[in-house]
Amino acid sequence: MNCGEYKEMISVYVDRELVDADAVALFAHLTTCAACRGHLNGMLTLRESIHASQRDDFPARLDQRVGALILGDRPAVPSAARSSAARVIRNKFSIPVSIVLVLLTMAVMGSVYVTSTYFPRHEVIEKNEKQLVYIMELPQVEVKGQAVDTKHIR
Amino acid sequence: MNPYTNEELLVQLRAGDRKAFLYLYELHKHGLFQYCLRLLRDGSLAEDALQQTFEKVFSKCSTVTNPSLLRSWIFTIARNEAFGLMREKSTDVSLDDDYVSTDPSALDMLERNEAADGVRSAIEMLSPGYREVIVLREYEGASYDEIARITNSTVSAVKSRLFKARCVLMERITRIV
Repeated sequence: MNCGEYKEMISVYVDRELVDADAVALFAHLTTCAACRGHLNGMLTLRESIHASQRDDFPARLDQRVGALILGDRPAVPSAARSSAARVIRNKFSIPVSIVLVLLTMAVMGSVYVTSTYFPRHEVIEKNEKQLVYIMELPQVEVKGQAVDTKHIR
Repeated sequence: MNPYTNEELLVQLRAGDRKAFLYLYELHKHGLFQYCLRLLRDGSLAEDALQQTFEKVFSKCSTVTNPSLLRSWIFTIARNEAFGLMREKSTDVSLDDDYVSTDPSALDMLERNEAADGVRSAIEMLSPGYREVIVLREYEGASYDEIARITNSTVSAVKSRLFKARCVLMERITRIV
């Protein structure tokens, strides 16, 4: 085992999670290795420093927020998270909705174009007018020697 | 004196007893807030994370079956909420363990602060992956098993991460302590 592995073991030792067999091996090594002894001292000092730096900065208003939640009264003012959640929903769905709108617009414009290209309105009107003229100008038909007035035929 | 054993607490929570919820909140609020605060580095976001955590605890406690896993379950929810908010904030989402902030203003602040502030700053400069194991172990006193459950990791990964995080902290803190 090398010093790197013993140093990792020291970290486990300061957490009091080192198994007995490993602790025996570690202390045997520490008696002969000044670098690892220094590392152990450093780790212990670090722990003390971290614990000393602990600060209770718990905000009292949070008790009201969560208390209201537990006791059944939802907080009246939406939290920053909720407004940011709404923002995320907006951001998440704004692009797909925009794409769908653009596609719909293109589909509508395309159908208008196809209709006007293949079924031009003026041709339909012209065709109807020609049919009307044709009907109006139908010749009189003679049936068995009798003339039939076709003007009433539509 | 604890009014509930873990088993009794879970039974009461599952029954929807509000006093049990308040007790659970009182029991873990400081640890959870510190955890969220250290992860998010933003007080108001940490408050939101804690509130959302208890909303989930409130609605999903019937899914917990093992009373001894209650604490790690709550911390796991808090972790997910905190990382969710972090993603919304779009910063600090990487759990890359090798990352340590080199922001000059943060480094400068570290130099100038007093020892306790310096230690806190040094912890805040760690990557989220390192930061959370340090906070869970040093502030919350969580066991390796619990940390592994909370962080969805293995005990050996937790040991390794704690070791590396401490090495980074030692290097930085020896300059200021």
